[in-house]
Amino acid sequence: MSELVILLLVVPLAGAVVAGLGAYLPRRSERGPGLAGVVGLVSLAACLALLIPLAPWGLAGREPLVYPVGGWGEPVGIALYLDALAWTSSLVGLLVAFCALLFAVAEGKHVPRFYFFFLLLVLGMEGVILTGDLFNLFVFLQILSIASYILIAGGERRQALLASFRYLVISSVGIGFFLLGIFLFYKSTGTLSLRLMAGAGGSFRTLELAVVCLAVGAGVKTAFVPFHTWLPDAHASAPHPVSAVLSGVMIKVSFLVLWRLVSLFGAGDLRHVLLWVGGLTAVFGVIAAIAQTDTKRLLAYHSVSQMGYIVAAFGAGTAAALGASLYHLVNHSLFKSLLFLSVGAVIRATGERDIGRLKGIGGLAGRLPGVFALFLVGTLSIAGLPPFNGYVSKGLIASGLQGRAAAYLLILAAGAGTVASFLKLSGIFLARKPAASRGRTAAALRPPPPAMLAAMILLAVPCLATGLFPRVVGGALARVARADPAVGGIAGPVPGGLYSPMHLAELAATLAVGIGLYLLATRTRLGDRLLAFLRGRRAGLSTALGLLVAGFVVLAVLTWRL
Amino acid sequence: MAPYLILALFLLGIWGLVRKDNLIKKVIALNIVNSALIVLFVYMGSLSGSTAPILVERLHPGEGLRRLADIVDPLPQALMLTDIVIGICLTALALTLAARIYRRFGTLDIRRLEKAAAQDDGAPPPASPEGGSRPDDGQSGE
Amino acid sequence: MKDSELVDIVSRKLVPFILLFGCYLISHGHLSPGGGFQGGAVLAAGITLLCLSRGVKDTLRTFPMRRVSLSESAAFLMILAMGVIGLVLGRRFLGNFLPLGEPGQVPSAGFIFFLNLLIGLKVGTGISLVMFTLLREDE
Repeated sequence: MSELVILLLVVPLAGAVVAGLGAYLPRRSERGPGLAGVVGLVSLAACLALLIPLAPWGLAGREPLVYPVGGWGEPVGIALYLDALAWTSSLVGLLVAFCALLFAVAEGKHVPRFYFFFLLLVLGMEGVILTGDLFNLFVFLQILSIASYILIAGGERRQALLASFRYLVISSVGIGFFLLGIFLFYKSTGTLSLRLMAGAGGSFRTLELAVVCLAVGAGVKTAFVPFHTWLPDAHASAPHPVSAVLSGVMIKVSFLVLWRLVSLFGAGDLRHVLLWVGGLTAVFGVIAAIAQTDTKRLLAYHSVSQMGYIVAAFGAGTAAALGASLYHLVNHSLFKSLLFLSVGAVIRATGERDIGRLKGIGGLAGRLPGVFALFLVGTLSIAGLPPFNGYVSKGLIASGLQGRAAAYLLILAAGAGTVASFLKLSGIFLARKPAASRGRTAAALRPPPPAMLAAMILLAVPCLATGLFPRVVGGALARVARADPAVGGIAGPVPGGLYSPMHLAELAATLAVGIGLYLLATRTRLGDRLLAFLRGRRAGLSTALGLLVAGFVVLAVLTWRL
Repeated sequence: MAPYLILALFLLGIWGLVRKDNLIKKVIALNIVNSALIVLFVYMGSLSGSTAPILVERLHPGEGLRRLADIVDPLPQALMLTDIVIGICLTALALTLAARIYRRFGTLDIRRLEKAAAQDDGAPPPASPEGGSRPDDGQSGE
Repeated sequence: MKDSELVDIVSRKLVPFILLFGCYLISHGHLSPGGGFQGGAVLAAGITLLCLSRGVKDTLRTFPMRRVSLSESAAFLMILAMGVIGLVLGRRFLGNFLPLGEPGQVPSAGFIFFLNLLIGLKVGTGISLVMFTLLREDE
């Protein structure tokens, strides 16, 4: 049974190599790319199937399944752990990757190398989730990152190359800090195994600094402020399925690294700092998002903002908040990737990415009804409307933050901003066709092939499902979070239920402020100028790195002082 | 003494990354950062002993346990081997990206590159707006 | 690069020894400092020296791109296969399934020896490919 765990790593790897071999088929052959894509899909489907017999370990309460690679027990060898957190994140990650891959196959224009790196990305993700050794974590994190650099560079526009380079540099420096953290951990505890480390002693100061270094590394990849600068360019310039996987999986997995490490060492002060960081990130991301005119950049800034929610809830530290954080993590993977894929379908159909120009084409709701419906599911989820999953997780996060007024307000403000910016984005569908419509634009639409729609439906259904059954899902996730050793107390049921007056009031307030913000931002001259100003402020690479270092210093100082 | 030198190397690399505008110089600086970390690990491993961590009775007859106390810590070395490999991959990738960027943009200067990218996106460039043609982004915000 | 006769002649004499040294490092990895990656890097260094002195086009005649690329993938698949054989034979993935032999001899320590060989091949070919791509002049 435990062999299945290692297969979760071997299958994507083997699939990657076999898919990559498609490159050696004769050049003229049309089969190469298609075959590679099918190999990829089969591998991912196999991995998902592997998760089924492993499901018992997915429900918290069992001892994690340990698999010593090569038969060498710890501390000499490296072991893989499958606990509830790992199972849940594998499930969501593989689902998102599968749908994105389906979308890519439907697009039909990717070379076998693309599928090779895509599967390598999945391998990296699985490795980070499953490993029990700190340095192995580093290695898999690097594999994940390198695959993503290459995939991003495959975007169509030339900015993709620059975005990939910037991301490479920033991420490498971040992972350098991660390595520094590993050094400090090894020096003070003498072992690299995550399980054994928790028991070992070690100088407290050094351990705290180590956790801060690791937090910086994980933070760069999770993209909370001030480490977020690489994300908008990278996610916006990448090919559509890659954007979906990046936003839906990669930043989540990096956050899970943070989760595991901070939980293991109970660095309470760091959690407190993260609470603030999360709140600020959520608001900042949303403000930047409203200002954008490029559809994918808007979505990318939203990824930053939503990760802020997740980080803030994690920072709150109570059992309820942790469960909420995990819930939102799952939900965001689902609806953000759905959004990226649907917007990708629109861009592919029309050839335009700019909101203004898409509105100029007009009438898209009628001409791309399937895409519109799926986009609507994603939008309603992220904006937090019932009965979709966003409502549940945002409500849970708000409850979890009840005790901390400032963070609570920040999160609510971010919620309003989310509503506003998605009203702006939805404009691309809702605009009417201009009366004097140019005849040629009517013919220029490329409707999405059914496989593409299927991929998006596969993501949309869980969005609805996790929203309709909050008790089941929420209960399961709360138990997963409770397994976290640093958390005391039981995660009780949601106070007053999810549709309590409190929550409905929050919803109404968010909607009202959101609509107001939207009107303010888009229909007034002041709004226009403010937005243009915000849009023009782009961080250069040097600034980004400076922010990274400054962020590290600030985090270290704050954690040590508090 | 040695840890301070290593710290200096690390900071030097970061300084180079931030202040140098040429992409290739940034790649070199990244390498310096990586090298500093590698040296740090290897140095730490060397603190615990001074002989190679190989324990074979036939090769070193009679020394057995005495050697055990004196060996260098083998773990950091193994870790750093992996790290060097990763560093090579990253450098190769970064250089290839730089070469492609040069071909598509015509320059390796990060400031001009970012300006060009911003113009491509239709937003006003990060520095003061230049004269000349800018793509029309009239539908801003609405 | 291609114009210096001295470099050309010296490198042509040296490269076989460099390749041999690389193979030595790979095969004695379990006995003395060295191993798969180190030996592979030396192999690649030898091939790079050839590229630098004779030009990539000439070197590609001795080490054709496609063959190098295929051997890299093949080596990787064989590493995976060795891991899976361990799995199939009842031990863990990458568990040893070959006899341990006498310490100090070259064929000993189970299948580490074969893993070293495969890794050395993969690394050598991999880095050579990187060098070929970066040093090409006809683009």
